[in-house]
Amino acid sequence: MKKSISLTINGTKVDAEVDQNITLLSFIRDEMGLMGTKEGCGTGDCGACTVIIDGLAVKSCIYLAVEADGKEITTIEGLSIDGELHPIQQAFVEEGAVQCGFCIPGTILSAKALLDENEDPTEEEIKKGIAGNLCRCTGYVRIIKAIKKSAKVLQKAK
Amino acid sequence: MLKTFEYLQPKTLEEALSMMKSCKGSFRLIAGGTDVIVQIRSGKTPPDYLISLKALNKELGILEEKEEGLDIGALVTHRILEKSPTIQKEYAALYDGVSQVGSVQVRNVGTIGGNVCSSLPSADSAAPLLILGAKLNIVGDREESICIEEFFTGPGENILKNNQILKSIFIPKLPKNSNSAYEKLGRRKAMEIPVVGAASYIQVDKKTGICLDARIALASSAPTPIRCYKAEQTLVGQSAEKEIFVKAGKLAAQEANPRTSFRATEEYRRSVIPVLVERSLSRSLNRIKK
Ligand SMILES: Cc1cc2nc3c(=O)[nH]c(=O)nc-3n(C[C@H](O)[C@H](O)[C@H](O)COP(=O)(O)OP(=O)(O)OC[C@H]3O[C@@H](n4cnc5c(N)ncnc54)[C@H](O)[C@@H]3O)c2cc1C
Ligand code: FES
Ligand code: FES
Repeated sequence: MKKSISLTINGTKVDAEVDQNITLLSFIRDEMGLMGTKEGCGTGDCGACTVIIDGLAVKSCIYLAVEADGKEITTIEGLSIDGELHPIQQAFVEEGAVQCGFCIPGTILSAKALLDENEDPTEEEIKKGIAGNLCRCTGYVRIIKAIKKSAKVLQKAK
Repeated sequence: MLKTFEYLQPKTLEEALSMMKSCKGSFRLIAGGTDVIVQIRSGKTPPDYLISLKALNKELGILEEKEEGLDIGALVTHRILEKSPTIQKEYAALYDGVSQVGSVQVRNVGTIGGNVCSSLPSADSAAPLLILGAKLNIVGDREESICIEEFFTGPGENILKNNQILKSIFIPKLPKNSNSAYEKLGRRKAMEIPVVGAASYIQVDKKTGICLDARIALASSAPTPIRCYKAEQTLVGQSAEKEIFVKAGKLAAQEANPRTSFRATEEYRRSVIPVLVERSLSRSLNRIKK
């Protein structure tokens, strides 16, 4: 049986009829066609599916689509403005923090949720903030460097 | 797509309870879903219905400081608890526990009620709640309050009946000159359920340094989270210092009944319990001194 939900994705209002047993991840990818959100493990462990729901980083592979009713959701596609990369994305490029890229959308969204809440995090706080995002190829040194750099850029822009 | 189930979302606690009573077919409650959805995704046959508690925030989602202690609604997430200054300061063992559940994304969604009701021996909130003297407020045909010691009955099992919901958890205010801590040993620092977890609470006489009261509890050390009463008794009346903490740790290991799993062997767990208990007691003591 389907249920109707209405939510906001990357600033756009969406009304949809969804199966009750699909995950938010599958809704975002298969029904909205937003392929930036990845599926790694499907069991909440890797963080590739991270999206921001009402300001909080959440693993969309273990979150039901019906529960997103009334929520505001940001996926990686929602970060750039008019084709300009978001400062966090820009810093990842500049610091060489991206290799295969599979983990990156999730990691960047965890970083965004962290920086929205804490504009000047310590290295320890950054590590805690992205502990749920596994990267198999870049390693974390450059990722942490990129997040530090983007924190500075974002603070200056204020 | 997951195997089919129907998702029901009652708007009040009363409606939820009556849905549970009249439900034709199997059902399961879902709060944050970080355990339930993972289990369904890993192929466990889902129930016919998932009854969601998500809309009951008004009744089940409140964190309230009272004169006698702290009322934590079952739907309060680990993240909210972790950020609460009251919990950081006054219920430090609970802070240690909930701030180490999974990762931020899991703590943003996972609830303390779900952690307790999943009733795994490894639940990171359980040992802290045991040593903090928590009471569970359960609703069903009637409302009752029980000590958390009476709740767990086996791995993944508890006393809740099919028509009962955990409504809230009450933790009494700690007396003066007391504090608590929880030590979690994992194979890595984050995203890991404990190989062993040790929570402790002690109260000391500030003048003499004598231990007036003590409670010790372990996670991942028996079929359920447990209190270690013998270890506790050995502390009372003694000078609170490392020597007696080590002795208490050894007694706690005797009271434990750990098993071998892919995370660690029984022998390993038994040999790290004393270390963790001692560390936990030392931290509780240091926190009193601060
Ligand atoms: C990647 C990952 C890492 C994790 N790491 C940890 C960890 O380090 N430590 C740890 O302890 N746990 C960990 N967990 C487990 C889980 O996140 C926690 O146990 C969480 O607190 C469960 O809460 P929930 O609200 O998501 O529960 P749900 O999945 O919604 O429910 C869990 C169970 O409790 C029942 N239930 C829920 N609320 C109530 C209620 N109010 N009354 C009666 N029954 C109820 C449900 O029916 C179900 O059986 C992890 C999970 C994941 C996916
Ligand atoms: S795909 Fe969701 S955490 Fe791995
Ligand atoms: S860049 Fe390949 S997994 Fe992180």
